[in-house]
Amino acid sequence: MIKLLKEYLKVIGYTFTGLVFGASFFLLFINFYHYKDISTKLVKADSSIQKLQTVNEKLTEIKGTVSSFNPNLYNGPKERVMLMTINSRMQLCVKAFENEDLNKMLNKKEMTITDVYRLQNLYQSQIVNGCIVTQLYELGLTGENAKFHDEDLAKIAPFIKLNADSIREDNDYVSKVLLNNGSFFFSSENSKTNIYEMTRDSYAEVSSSYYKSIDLLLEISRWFKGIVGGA
Amino acid sequence: MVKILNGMFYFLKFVLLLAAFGTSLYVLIAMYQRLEKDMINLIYVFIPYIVILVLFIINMFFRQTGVTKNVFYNITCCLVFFTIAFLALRSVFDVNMIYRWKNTYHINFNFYSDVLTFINVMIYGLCIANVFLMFSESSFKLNKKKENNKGSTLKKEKPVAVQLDDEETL
Repeated sequence: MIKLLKEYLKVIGYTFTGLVFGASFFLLFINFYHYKDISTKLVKADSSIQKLQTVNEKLTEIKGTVSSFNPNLYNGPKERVMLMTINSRMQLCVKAFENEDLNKMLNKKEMTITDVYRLQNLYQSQIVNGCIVTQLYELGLTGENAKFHDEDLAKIAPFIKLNADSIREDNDYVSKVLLNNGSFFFSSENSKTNIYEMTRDSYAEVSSSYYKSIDLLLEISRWFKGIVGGA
Repeated sequence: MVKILNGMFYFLKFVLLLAAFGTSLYVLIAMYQRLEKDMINLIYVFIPYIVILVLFIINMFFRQTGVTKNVFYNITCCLVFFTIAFLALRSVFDVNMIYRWKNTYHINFNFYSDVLTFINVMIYGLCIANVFLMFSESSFKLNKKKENNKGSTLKKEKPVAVQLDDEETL
């Protein structure tokens, strides 16, 4: 009887060992797969790299406008202080767009999900906060809230406000979506595809918002050039 | 060969237990600091480690061959402790998990707390298996003694059979 009982103890002991072995094996390998899944790289299409080069051309045009303005030579009807303020704001925006880290991240040929997250953070701090919200947003205010009371500026103000609002709200959700990549249960083809799509879509969202920002700055610089003429 | 393998895994399981304990301690201390929790509460998290260590010491001092010479059990222990160390290291070093960047410690606490339950279940599973194998081991000794006794009686009977054969042949 005791012998039988002890044989049962042995069987139960081995059963528990086997279950723990299985659980541990499962956990270890699912983690290997998940590690591989989230380190999947997004290879950028050639068209998106070419599109990035157009940003440099736009930036050169803006820089030309900003540097050509000389307040001492301006004899037009507009307030010099206002023009100088707008010019200096555009200068700050150009500096934000020329940020080394941001450009390094944008020019990468292959991007992991972490790169997209870092790009989003840099874009948020440098372009959205450093340029759109603090420098350009006020140009779009009208009525009592307007910072500058100018007829010409009031004409393009709704356009600036609309774009600035859209850029501000564009990639708020991107960082929230990206945070989900650390949560997992079963690694499958489906989850792998989800992670890849998350990387691709988030990058597309951030880059399109980036293009929108440079276009807004370009439009303002063109308006500014039209106002100041050759001064 | 099996003896050498067993000896290797037996030694390795202590090394890996130390590694698993160390890495988990590092992550959990950072986690408790971040949450501003009382460090004394860490003891509750490490109860399974203490229990398994006590069981290993009992196995070692009482020379319980059912556990110490059990290759499968030793391999499982190694695998479990390696997994625990791997999970802790992954929460620290896997740069592709975005939550890692959300705090100043650069440790993915979210991921580690997700797998903490699995870790506890695995260690308690090892403890239960250890206890069962520990008690089943003593039966082997009894069986061996009985087998030896039976063996001795058979040896005594053998000459009788030979004698009978001899008688038949006669």
